Amino acid sequence: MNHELLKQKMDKFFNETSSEYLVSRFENLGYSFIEINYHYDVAETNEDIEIINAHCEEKSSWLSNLFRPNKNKKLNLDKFEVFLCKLAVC
Amino acid sequence: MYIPKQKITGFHGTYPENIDSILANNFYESQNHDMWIGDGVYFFVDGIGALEPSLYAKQYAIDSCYDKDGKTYFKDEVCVLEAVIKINNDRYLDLTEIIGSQLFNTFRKRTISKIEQSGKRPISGEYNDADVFKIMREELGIEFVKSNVYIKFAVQRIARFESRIPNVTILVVNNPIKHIQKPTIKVVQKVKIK
Repeated sequence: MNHELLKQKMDKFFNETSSEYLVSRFENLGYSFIEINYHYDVAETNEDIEIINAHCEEKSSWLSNLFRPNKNKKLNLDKFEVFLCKLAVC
Repeated sequence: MYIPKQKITGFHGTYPENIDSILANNFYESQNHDMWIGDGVYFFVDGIGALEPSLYAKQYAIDSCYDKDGKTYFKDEVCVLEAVIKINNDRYLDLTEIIGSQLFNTFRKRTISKIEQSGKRPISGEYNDADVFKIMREELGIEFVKSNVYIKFAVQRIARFESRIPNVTILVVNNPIKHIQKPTIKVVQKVKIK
């Protein structure tokens, strides 16, 4: 794999491509879009991730009690982690 | 280490009625946006699997002709084809390498961020990896993607075994006519199902 070349192509693509073009690419694949009235960006810096992790640690103790498995309900760790992180970024 | 060209042997499971066409005209690309990593010809290749890749190709072909409702197979026989794929490393995304996965994750993240910047979000469904791959392939000129994936074969279905840990390595090829020489394609196995 020529990683450097692919990275250069990717940087060029995002530098030269408009968001409208990307929306149209997905629309051509059958997607429909709505306007949203707030800005959302996924955490991308280490600082962001640390903040989320810190929230996760704070909330995990009482939440783990809430999600304690019993014989009728199977604990799903994936869902639990997703829930925790969603809660942390609220 | 960057190698300009390399060859990978792949195994593809199919039905007997497709053999003549494939041997005469080469493979055809699956086009289904629900496919794991987008459109293309799917091959099982050497990698993380516990078994030989040809065995996964055979099992996948057998499983794909099982009718769940009728609880029976709608084919009597499946075949496994072997082919040598000539990889152009300038057009190769290897997700089994950390830098390859990072590249895809960066592309996906930048795509979604860019769309969000325009104030738009999908109303129906969610972004699908196969669609992101399709756009990434076309925009960056990628024609080969190797990835470790989890495939639920019959044994996992029967055992009701869900997992997110990959169990096989696959290679997806676009433009097979360009990258697979017909003389390298051969039938290596024919398996009676019933």
